[in-house]
Amino acid sequence: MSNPTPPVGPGLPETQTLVPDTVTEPAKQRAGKQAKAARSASLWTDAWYDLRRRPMFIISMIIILILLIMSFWPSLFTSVDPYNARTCDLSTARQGPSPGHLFGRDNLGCDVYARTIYGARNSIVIGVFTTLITTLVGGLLGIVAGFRSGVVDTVSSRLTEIFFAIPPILGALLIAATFRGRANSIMLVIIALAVLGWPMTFRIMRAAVITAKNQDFVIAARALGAGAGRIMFRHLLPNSLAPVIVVATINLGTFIAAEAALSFLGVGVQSPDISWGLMIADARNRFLEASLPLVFPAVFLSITVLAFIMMGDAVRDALDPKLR
Amino acid sequence: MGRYVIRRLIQAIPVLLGATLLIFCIVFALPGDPIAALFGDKRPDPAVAEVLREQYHLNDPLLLQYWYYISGVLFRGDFGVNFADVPVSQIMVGKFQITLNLALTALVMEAFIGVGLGLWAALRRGKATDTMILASTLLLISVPTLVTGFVLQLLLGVKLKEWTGLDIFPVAGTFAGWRSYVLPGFVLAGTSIAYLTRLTRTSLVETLRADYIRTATAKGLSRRRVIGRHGLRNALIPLVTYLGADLGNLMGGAVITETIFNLQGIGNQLFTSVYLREQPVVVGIVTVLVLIYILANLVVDLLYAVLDPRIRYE
Amino acid sequence: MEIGEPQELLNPQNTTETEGAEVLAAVFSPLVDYDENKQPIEEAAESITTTDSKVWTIKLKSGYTWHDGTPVTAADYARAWNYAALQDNAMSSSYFFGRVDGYEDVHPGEGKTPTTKEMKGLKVVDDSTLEVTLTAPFSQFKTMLGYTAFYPMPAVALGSDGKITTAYGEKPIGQGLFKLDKPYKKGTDPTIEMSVYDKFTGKKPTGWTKLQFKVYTSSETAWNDLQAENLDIHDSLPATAISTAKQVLGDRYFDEPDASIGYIGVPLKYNKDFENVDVRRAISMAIDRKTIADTVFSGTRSPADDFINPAIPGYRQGACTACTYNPAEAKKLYESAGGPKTIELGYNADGGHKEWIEAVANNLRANLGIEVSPKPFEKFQGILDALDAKEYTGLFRMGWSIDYPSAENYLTPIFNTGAIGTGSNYGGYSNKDFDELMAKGDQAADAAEGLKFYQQADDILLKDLPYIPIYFYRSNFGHSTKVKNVKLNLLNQINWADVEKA
Repeated sequence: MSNPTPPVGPGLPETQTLVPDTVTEPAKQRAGKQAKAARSASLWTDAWYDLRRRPMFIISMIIILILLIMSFWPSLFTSVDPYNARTCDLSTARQGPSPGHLFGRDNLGCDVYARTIYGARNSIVIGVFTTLITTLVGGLLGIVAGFRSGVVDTVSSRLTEIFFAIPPILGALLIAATFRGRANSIMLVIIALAVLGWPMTFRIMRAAVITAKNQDFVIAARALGAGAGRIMFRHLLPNSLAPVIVVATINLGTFIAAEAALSFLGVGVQSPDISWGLMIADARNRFLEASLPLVFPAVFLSITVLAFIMMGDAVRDALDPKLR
Repeated sequence: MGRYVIRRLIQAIPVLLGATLLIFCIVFALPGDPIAALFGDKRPDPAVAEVLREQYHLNDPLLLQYWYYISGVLFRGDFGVNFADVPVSQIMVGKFQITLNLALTALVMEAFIGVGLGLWAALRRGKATDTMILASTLLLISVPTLVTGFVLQLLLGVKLKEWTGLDIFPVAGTFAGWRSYVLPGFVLAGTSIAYLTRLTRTSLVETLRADYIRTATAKGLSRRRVIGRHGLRNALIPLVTYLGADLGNLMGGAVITETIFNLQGIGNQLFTSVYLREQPVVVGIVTVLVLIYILANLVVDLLYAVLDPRIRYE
Repeated sequence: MEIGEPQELLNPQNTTETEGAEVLAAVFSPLVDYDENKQPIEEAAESITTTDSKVWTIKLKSGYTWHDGTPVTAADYARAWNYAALQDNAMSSSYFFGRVDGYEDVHPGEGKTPTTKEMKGLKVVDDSTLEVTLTAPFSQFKTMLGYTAFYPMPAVALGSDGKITTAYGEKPIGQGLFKLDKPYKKGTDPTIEMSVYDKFTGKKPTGWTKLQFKVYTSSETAWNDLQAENLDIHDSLPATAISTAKQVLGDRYFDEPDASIGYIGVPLKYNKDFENVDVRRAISMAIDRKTIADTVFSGTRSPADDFINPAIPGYRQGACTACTYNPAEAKKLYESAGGPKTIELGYNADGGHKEWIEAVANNLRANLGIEVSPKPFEKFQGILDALDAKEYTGLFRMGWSIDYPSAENYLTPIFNTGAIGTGSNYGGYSNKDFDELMAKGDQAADAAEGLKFYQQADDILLKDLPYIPIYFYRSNFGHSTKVKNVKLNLLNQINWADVEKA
């Protein structure tokens, strides 16, 4: 592993700005406590110990918790039930905020606030599960391809080239046709987005592993007789995770937004079900006449992505051996 | 190196053949009668539909259809025709030109804006600038292209001309040369800018902690030189990977941007042709896209070795 | 001038969609045009006469020449019509000639081979006279002749194999006001350019000679281009642009009836739930057409109240009593008739129908207290396939745009028993009285006489509600400050000769 000594550059003022305090502080603290923890703790328990004291992690977890509560008990947040058609009044379509309708009305005269709250569940389920699947599949294949090189790399890389080339609409239509009636609409969306989404994670992971595997600590581990599995998961994974986490957390947002594009092809969430992607897609044509029905789900989507990006950053920092 | 390139190019042949067969099968497997779909809400005359099906070999088994297609391509350089009897090669030449212009504009924009913003954010890590950049990239993800596209088109295309008399950004079409691609290029690059900004920031923050950067700093090199020569160069690998993989995305997935700015390119054509089940058009376009992916990935893989001398290809 | 990309090459006999038809209307001159009273008047024809509505004599005006200079003859019409009707040519307009005597011989149907290439009902009497014999009298025949499929075809259009050449499809030679400047490479060219044909003997525009059709993939984009004055005429303004268009264009904005209708189709043949007419009436009364037309369509549609569109003679305002919004009555009727508790509402996702279908669904949910699930299909044909395969038995959206401006065209192709399977009678409605009245109308001595019978047939539909009419389309068009006097004809094509430079 790399040297945990904090950078010291007396007489070089640049150092201070170059490596900001936020980075050096925890590292210093940890250096002191290292003696206690290092012996028994594994990489992951270490990370968990570290995470609990990061404000960024705590804030992001609070946001995610609120979103989860919103998903499971939306009625805690609003008294309007958007699944009841009587709450919509077409003649009030696209009206601005009014008492009882904080975010205004959408194109069909339904309450935007209530729909945004009720839309959380489907959107978050789709975003989280699709991201998990693409990251696991793309990440695992990426590690193996980057580490093994040779035939494994060639075959999986060529495979991604073909997958990349399948036009998303073609893929989605095929999946829709194959699974129509055999899976519920949310599962269909997750399958479709995952099948089309994993190659990017694969490429990123593979690139990171190719860079990492030539570094001294890997060569050292190998010289010490570490097995392939140990090298990959103990040494390469934590050192190549950063870009994958970045792509994964942003993917979460794009998946939630992309879901609506699929519903157009008959794959996605269908009315009367509600999702943010669907709300955004329905509102976008009339954006110039009424922007609120688009802005609110988009803001919720942004906050969700923000929470996951913050969490991703914190996890990445906690796992990063260089910060120890 | 040379042998590596040749080996990769040879590998491209089965990939291309595999991709054409796969796409051909997918289009074949999709439900719906392509001929009936040509008639919109009206039911086609059964006899007319039958003659058309015969004419486009739609009654033949899958493999025979594929043989008609692939033998035409391989032996006669004939990529087939669409349902209006326009040769696919004619459709592809003009449209790929437009799409390539658009995709390259977008790629250059995302490289400069994305990397620039990411660099800025990394250097101001934890400061207000960093947060602002994060917030604005989030906006790019959650606001659909259709909205950014139409809003920018209205503001910079229509209103700017109305208010100032300056005709800088054309509203639509390709009549104004390279200027026609600036606005659509930016709109298309939107989400990718967000990815690149985040990737650059993370990657750079990571690299700046590495031993050799500390060494370089300790040696007394200027900050500019440390970041430019040592930091950025090593942080580039994930960025280059992303850009390489994104090129194809930009080319094949620009449906909405092309529609808004009335650029009659590949993205739109692919969408329509998938809808109409025009196998020769879909397969032709996808084959060229696969070729672009293969070349882009090859270039990216070669760049790894340039950016990080420890990486070797044999 | 704005258009969408034509679906096929520019060949009148293979053009049954509006975009291609719009371009061809500039290049060709029809036999009949339509006057302010929506009646057919002779254009390229000198006279069109009949004594029994069965044998029609068409005399051509002299002086018409093809764009290559050769004169237009009656044989050119016979050539075009025979070509269109011949089954082997697979022309999309073949069904227009189904009433001509001898159609069966050239178009015997699926799996059969034509016995001849010419219809015996077409007789070229001399260079300027064509005699058409129909299998049965049809009082509306003259009205049909204004349509794209009836344009003539020059001898040079056909190659040595007897088929229309690609060169002709890219640069059709017409006998109309405009001549194409260069071949139109479909799929590549963003514009279609043409200029006034010097030897055209009809009315020519004053002050300008060049016409350019710009191909747009989005009518919103075209609207922005019109605002920026890069486009002069836009004849399909999108609903999203209407409120701004009224402000920005002022008196350059127009709103006129369009001859198309939107319905909710009822699968009578496939689903017993809708057998009771009261169920259909209740559904119809539960739909708030006015609000849908105003908010969802921003006035680009108007509430439907007849099976015949107001743009066409024969429309009667308020004819459909069950089309009036009456939620209370609807609920009572629905419950007493025992309507189904859940309804599916199919639509094709490619046509921008989602919003109004959802609005209808909300109306039905709220007013009838039932479950309604809108169900998108990728394409309209998908709905028909699913109905035929009995995989889907719900209501479905349906639209109809006329082939020729006669009330008859709203009735026979959609509701006649003969139109089940081959025509557009997708719901499978069949009523003997209706069929008989339609036949009487066809055999009437003249068009006006025929209309009376058609209206009686319409009354039967209004009582039975085999489909539920929802809205009439409107033509929303506007033009830049550079032109004036832009007018649409009955087929929603622009009268180019009247357009002036401003």
